[in-house]
Amino acid sequence: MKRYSVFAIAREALSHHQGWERAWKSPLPKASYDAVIIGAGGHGLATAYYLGKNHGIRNVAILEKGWLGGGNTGRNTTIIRSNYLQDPSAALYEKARSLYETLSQELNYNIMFSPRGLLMLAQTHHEVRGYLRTVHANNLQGVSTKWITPERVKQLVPIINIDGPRYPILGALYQARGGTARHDAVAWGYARACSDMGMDIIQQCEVTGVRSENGQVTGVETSKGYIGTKKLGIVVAGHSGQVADMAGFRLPVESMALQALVSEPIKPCMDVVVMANTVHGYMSQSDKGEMVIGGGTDGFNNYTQRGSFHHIEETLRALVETFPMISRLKMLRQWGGIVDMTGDRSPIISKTPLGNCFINCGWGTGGFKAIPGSGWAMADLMARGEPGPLAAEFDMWRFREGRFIDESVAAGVAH
Amino acid sequence: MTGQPAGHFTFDGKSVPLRPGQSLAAALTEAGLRSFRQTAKGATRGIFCGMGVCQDCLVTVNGAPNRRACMTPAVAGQDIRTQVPFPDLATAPNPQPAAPARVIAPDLLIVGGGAGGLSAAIAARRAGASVTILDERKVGGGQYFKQSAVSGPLDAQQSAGADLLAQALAAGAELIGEVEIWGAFDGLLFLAEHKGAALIARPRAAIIATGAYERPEIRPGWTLPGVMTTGAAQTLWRSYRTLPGKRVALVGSGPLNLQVGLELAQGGAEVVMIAERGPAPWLRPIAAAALALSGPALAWTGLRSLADLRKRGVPVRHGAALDRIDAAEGALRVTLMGDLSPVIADAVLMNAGFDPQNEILRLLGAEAIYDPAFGHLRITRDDTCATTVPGLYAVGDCAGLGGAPAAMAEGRIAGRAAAAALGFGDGYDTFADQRQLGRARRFQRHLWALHDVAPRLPDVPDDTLICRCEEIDAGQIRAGLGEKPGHAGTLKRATRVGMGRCQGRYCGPVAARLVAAATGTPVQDRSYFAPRVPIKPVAISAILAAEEALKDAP
Repeated sequence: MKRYSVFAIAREALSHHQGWERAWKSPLPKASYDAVIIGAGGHGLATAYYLGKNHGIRNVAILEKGWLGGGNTGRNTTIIRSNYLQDPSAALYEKARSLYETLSQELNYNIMFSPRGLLMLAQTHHEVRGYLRTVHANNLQGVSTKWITPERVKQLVPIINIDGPRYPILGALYQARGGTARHDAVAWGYARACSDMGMDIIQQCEVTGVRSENGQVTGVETSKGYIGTKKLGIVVAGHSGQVADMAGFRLPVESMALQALVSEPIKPCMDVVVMANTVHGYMSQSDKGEMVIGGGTDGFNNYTQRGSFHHIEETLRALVETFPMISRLKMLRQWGGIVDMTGDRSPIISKTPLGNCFINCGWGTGGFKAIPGSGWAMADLMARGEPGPLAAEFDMWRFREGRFIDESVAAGVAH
Repeated sequence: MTGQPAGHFTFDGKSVPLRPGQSLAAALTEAGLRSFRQTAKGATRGIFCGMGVCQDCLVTVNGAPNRRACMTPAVAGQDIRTQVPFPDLATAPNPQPAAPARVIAPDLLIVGGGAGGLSAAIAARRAGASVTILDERKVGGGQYFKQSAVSGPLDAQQSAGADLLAQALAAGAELIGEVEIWGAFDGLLFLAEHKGAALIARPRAAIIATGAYERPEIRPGWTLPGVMTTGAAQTLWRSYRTLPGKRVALVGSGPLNLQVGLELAQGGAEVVMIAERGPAPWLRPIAAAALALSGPALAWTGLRSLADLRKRGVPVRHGAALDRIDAAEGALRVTLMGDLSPVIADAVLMNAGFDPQNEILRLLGAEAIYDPAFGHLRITRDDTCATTVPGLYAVGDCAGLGGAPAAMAEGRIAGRAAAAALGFGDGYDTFADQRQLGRARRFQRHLWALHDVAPRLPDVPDDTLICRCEEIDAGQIRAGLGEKPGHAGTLKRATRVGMGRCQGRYCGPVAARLVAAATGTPVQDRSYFAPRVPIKPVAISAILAAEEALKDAP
């Protein structure tokens, strides 16, 4: 792999930039691998990357039914933060956030990480108490967040209206090193690094069945034929329940559509990320100048990457009170993704009833921020066969045993 | 030109005269101003489609950014400014307080007040159904009849349109202009913006008659200010009596170029060239004879136009296709393929076929089949023009290209059938219309056989733009195709093609064809970008106004 650098640009300029190689290869699947990962989104690619980097397992295939990063990795609103309440979540999301800090350098690929600061607005007295509690918890967990006053919110976000009649701003939970990254670039950067380690990223290869013998996984049936494997990692989002079904077990997840929308580009007016959980809205401004607005989930389970329009309306109605100027904004596009949600709004990184088959799912409405940490923990689990400290609390049997990691508040989107 | 200046507005501080009824785009063009906005990459753009589709003629009107010059009436005293790519919305003025939202529930809603829509309205209204027609333009009549906004009818075609419009209104149909529909939902619910207020339509049945928009020649230079669709130039002239330029060249294929070329020549423009992709009709006598037999009157009109053009010394080059357009000292240099010497023009008009405006139909789930001859979708319809969605009809070019006479026959058939399905009239007696429809369709078949509007893959240099809005060039598209995307939507996400303001209306069909060619699969209805609300950019205030009104409605 040719390293990207200023020298490389100068060198390639001499040959009119015709010499750049493809960022990743598109090989045909081999007959078998040491490990197969289903899903070439951010989490799947990160899992493969850390399998190779941290554990030396490089005979790996990543199977993708569509195209690389085309699921929720390419559909989210790219928010990165780690201001969660419970210890296991804070550890996992803070690991991810800290990996994001240096990911561009590590992958030699500019993921455009922008720690521009993130505000979670408190608009009811319950939220004030909840976020104050989160600040205290974060301080104990080593996550740097603080509580700020409405006046400070107004300083950080000049376009905000802090005295709305229904939802005044009573303060905010502020994470200065939260922010955004370029979602595609995260997938592309990991893909390039995986391909460089000799891993096979096989796109348009849909898994249709999971084969096992004596309770141990032996391989997967795909649209490109049978692929044998010693270990299987299921790292899909919306359709995790379906893939688990192929492997013969059930998941405590529900799949539903989550939507987002984007406006016309305008002059930069907001250089932080603002989340308003009471009203289910979050907004940031992209580098292209578009306002990116995230909405709520549908109230019913489905697999259509589309969503109900009234959720967009509800989100906008609430946001207009907080940001009066957006009423003048024109909305250009809206899209949806399928999120798989667990009962406690925390993910599953777990062994499964099938031997040597592992699953990483249930990230609900906020998986993007967790990608590096999730991949780190999942790779650890797959390599050693047992969860490490990051993943230990996130096994799928916690729902049977009542060990919930309740993050309904910190998950950001009311469900 | 007709009419005296009725005042002045300013464009970037410079005074520009206007005549009553003119659009901003027309007044600016008449003053010789062609560049209306700057793109994010520093290019300039002006009027292109002239009918509210391409979203390229944006200007700032009295501080309010991103208004389409082609759809905004010119008013004395306005402060118009070149549109910058990233307007400051934080300091932009609040829109005028919108009028209260309006909820209408006619028996039959007709979307589009053109040839097909008006005919449908007359038929349904006469059967007894209550009918409301929504049109995006201020003046009804549609793109074929193009009513004048500044004076009386110019010729027989405009008179016929005026008659049809008068008949529809006399029959009791309500026509609401300046309505932009941005959403359509199951159970037949339409959400729209009407002069800054929300308009909600909950009809029992709907006839979609949204027509088509023009397919451009995607060649180097096709995004330069001064290059516009032939229809845009026709609107400038027929609706506003404004010539697109002193020297005009027309490229592409089809009868519209000949007609508009002649109209502009008669109006005083110097038509320096009409390049027609198809071979000359006298080189294809059998096809020409078939056309003459299928519609003697129309064929005769066409032949007379050709003779008239020749008499006026307008060079009509058959079998000639556009190679490139370059900016040259305040004008445009047009080069054709092959060894022809370039011509200089102020305006280049292009029309290389049509793409149906079928977003509402596809959004509501109407099935369609790809028509390879025209390179666009044809909505699946029965004999009464009913689509596969209950209560939803499609007439005219939005269901697949067919021309105005066919649209009118379809409108009469669908109007009567929709009314009958709602319990008004018997819906019979369509024999004469069916016969006329058959004749019109036969004529169209022979007509297009003489032209060359087969869809092409853009065989252009890497730096030629494919997506006007997001400024995605052919090189980026090719790189995206290298990843072997399985669908145009994949290419969209990889390259941003089609993510801009026009919602992929111009690049979307190209992306669908490119992906189909790259993957070796046939184009079909699902090859296109998935239709999504909003189908036109819509202000968030308008979305909320519609939501409020829906909540209050019974």
